[in-house]
Parts: sequence; C-alpha cells; structure tokens
Amino acid sequence: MIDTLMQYKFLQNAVISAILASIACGIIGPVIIEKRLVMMSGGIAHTAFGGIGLGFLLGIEPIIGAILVTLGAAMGVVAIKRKTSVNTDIPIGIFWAAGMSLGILFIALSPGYPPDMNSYLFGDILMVSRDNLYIILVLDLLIAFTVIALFHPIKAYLFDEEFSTVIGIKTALIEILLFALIALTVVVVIHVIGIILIMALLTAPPAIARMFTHDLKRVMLYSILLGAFFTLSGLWISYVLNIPSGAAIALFISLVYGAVSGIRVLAQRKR
Amino acid sequence: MNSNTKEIGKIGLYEDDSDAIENAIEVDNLTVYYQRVCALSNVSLRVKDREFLGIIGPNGGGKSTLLKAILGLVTPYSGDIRIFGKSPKKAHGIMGYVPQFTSFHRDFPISVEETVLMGRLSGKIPMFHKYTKEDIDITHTLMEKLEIYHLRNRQIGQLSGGQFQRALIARALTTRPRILLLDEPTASLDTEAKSHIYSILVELNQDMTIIMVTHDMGAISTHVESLACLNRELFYHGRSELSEDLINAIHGCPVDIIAHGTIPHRVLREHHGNGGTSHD
Repeated sequence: MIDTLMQYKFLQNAVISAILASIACGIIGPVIIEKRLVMMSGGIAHTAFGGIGLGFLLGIEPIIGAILVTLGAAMGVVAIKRKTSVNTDIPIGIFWAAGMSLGILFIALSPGYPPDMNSYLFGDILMVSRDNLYIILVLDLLIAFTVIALFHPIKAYLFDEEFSTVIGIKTALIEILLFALIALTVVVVIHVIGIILIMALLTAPPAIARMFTHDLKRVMLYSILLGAFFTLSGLWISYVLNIPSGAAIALFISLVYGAVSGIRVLAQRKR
Repeated sequence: MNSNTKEIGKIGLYEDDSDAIENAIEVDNLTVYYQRVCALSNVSLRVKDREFLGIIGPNGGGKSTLLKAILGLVTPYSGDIRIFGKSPKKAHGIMGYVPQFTSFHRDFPISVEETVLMGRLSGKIPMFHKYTKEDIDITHTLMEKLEIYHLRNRQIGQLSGGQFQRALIARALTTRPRILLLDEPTASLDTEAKSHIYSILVELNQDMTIIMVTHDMGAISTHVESLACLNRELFYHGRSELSEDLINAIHGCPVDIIAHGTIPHRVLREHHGNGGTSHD
C-alpha cells in the first residue's frame, strides 16, 4: 500500500484528511461525551446534509454550505438547550429530521442531474480534493487553537458550569464557542466517514481513551491517536477488502470499542 | 401570609442589634418562575454578616432556587437581591459556592487538585490561562486544612462522599469568599463525615457568612444559628431553636423531621453562645 500511497495523490489526500479528521474529533469528541452532548451533536451533524443540499442549490461549494448551515444549527441547538428545561431530546430529534429533509428538498430543487449524495452520507475518503483539504486544514487549526487557548475555562465549563459562572467566567460564550466547534468538526469529518457515521469517530476514541487516563488533556491526545489509528486502519481495510471506506472505518471502530469494553468488564469481574 | 412572615422575621434573631451589623445579603420581594411554575413567591430575607443560616423546606420548595438566585444563576421574575450592596452578577469573588455534590458526573477526567484549583480561575474568558505559584500555594494550604492534600492526584470519582464534599468546600474557599453558600452539603454522608463537615463550617463561620440548604434537622438544632423555612414562600426566618414561632412555621412548611429521627428539643441554649458572640 505504501508504494500506491506514494504514487497516487488521491491516496495521499485520503491519509492527510484522515489524520486531520482524527485531530478535530480527538479534541471535540471528549467535549461531547463529557458534557453529554451526543444527541445534540447528532442533530447538528445531520443538518450538514441540509447545508450540502443548499450548496448544490446555490451552486456554491457544498462544504461551504455545510459550514454555514451547521453553524446556524449549532446556534439553534444552543437556544433549544437554554430554553428547554425538561427534555431537549424531542426538539433535537425534530431538528435532526428537519435538517436531513431540507437537504433532500434542496437537492430535488437543484437544476440538472442530481448529484451523488452517498459520499456525503457515508463518506468517501478517496474523493477528498486538494481544495477540500485546505478547508479542512483551516477548520482544524481553528478548532485546535480555540481549545488550546481556552483549555482551562473549557474544562471548568465542562466539569461544573454553575460554579464557573459564579466565579465570573462567561460560560454562555464558552458554550456558544464549543457548539460552533462541534459544527466545524462535523464538516471536517464529512468526507472521511460521512454524516451518518460521524458519531462513531466522535464518541468511541474518547470513550476508550478515558478508560486509561483521568486527565482531560491526555484524553484528547489519546483520542487523536486512536482516531488516526481507526481511520487509517479502516482505510487500509477498505483498500484490501475493496469495501466502502466510511463503513470500513465505522465498523472497525465499533469492533474495537466492543472488544475493549468487553475486556474491561471481564477484567473488573476478576478483581 | 406574607405580612405575617415579616412580623416573625422581625422578632427573630437580631431584634436588638438590627442596624449594628452589615447585611451580607438582602433579598426583597423575590419571585422566581421556571417556565410557568412559580418556584419562589415574594420572598424577603436579610442575612447578617457572619450569620450561619440554614434553609429548610420540602423538596421542590425553592431552597436551591433561592441559593441560585442569590448566586446570580437564576434570573428573578421580580424583586431585588443585594450582596453586600452589589447585584448578584457583579458579586463574583464575594460568594463561594458549594453545589449539591450528588449532581456531579463523578467519572469526569479531573483530579482533586485540578478541581480545587478551578476556583482560582479568574477573568471572563481567560486565554492561555496558567495557574500561578500563588494559586497553587493557596490551593495546597486549603487542601491541607481540609485534609484532602494526600488525595490530590486522585480522580474525583475515587473519593468518598465526605472527601469529595471537602474538595468542593476547598474549591469554594480558594476564591476567598465572604459568604459561603452550600447546597445540601451532608446529603447521603454517614454520621462521622457529617460531623466533620459541620465542624469545618462552624470554624469557617468565625469569619464568613454561611448559608446552607439542608434536610438535616439534627444539624439545624446544633450548628446553625438561624433558620429559614421555605415552601415557595418564606414561612419563617429567625432563631433556629424550637419555639412556638418555629412550630407554627413548620406547620405551613412541612419539613421531614420525623424521618430523620432527630426532633429538635431544646438543644440550642448551651450551644448558642458560639453563634451569638461571633457577631462582635
């Protein structure tokens, strides 16, 4: 595979985008699972489909459409989170479906031949272009910079929002920032694993990482490494077995997560 | 009912020196709604500097809501709150908050030391923040005082309830507050851990105001000097010893006394000197 890697640009792009996606997911995944935002992030992720549809409809780069719409969706989810005191699952669930439906509607309204949406839904890492790579790189830098710069207040917000507010931290602003970063992370990952499979790459690496460390910084670091291992292995599996890359990555993640969890349960029983 | 409450409040603890001591907290006609549910209705309350106030009342009676309103975490529908003359949202650093420790995700990847250090974070959006030597010194001193220093590298889930509660108190103290607000600090602790927490609070009360939401009537009768009974409205605010006023108040404000098995009989007199002199 190494020879082929040197030979083909699309494979290089695939590897680079896999690593960039792992960095974004490794940083934001722990935020999502520590703050219990899996459902909300799922909602934001699925509205990306609406954004891609909008991109096609307006004739702009679909990824730019996805950035705009997921950012808007993230702000919508923040508003729902603040206004709804009881059960946010319901409005988020509706949000989720509405975002997908808008995508389908926009595609239907777009002139000309309907584009192939499978690569956005299930990922097609081999289709990542140089231009896409630059966009992903910029988003990655933005995510990493923000979290590094605000690491302490972010950790305080994640651990104890009310106490953080009482000591004067603008938790409302931190929350908006983090949700915006979740939206950008979704966009980074779309090509690698697809909208529908994103949650696997966001949740499994930090879930495994936190079994081995009690330090948030390390959870993020290990998640990045695990993410890179998952995506690159998945890519290799898809190459060897000639199966779609998104599905290969998501299934590999699920298998490893299942195995690690199983071993852990057994180990605890023995104690 | 409400004018009645105020009357009772007046003949409460500080009838003779009502202007001598600065008020730490002044709550006037506070009403709080959650959506359409009224959580607090027209509550007025004065807390003197260095008072040790216990807030009791049934579940859903608005105890935590009052605490959160004072802390500026809940926006009142109407009414006014002053913390040493400042509005809650401008009173950062004056108040130390010890949240209900059952509300935490104890599996969060954070060590005891990091938890306590959190109190030293300052600024609205601190960029590239690093804890200073002073921050770490203050934190370590407090952790030693509260006997959790040896646990500093543990993940918080590996602490007992009492140890974790002490870590939360240490964290609140790192801000060097003038008022400490605690939400059920002894819930689900065993007797030994409880009395440890109370002895810490009584000592802290020497130089700070303490407001504690609790279900523990035993503590009310022995450690707390004044009492507020809250069931949406404020039914009583005054001395914590058993009196006719208190009994009448508790009638309107059902408190789960019997279940706790410690009906406060006249226990306060001999302990009371402690609370009374701390105002001088």
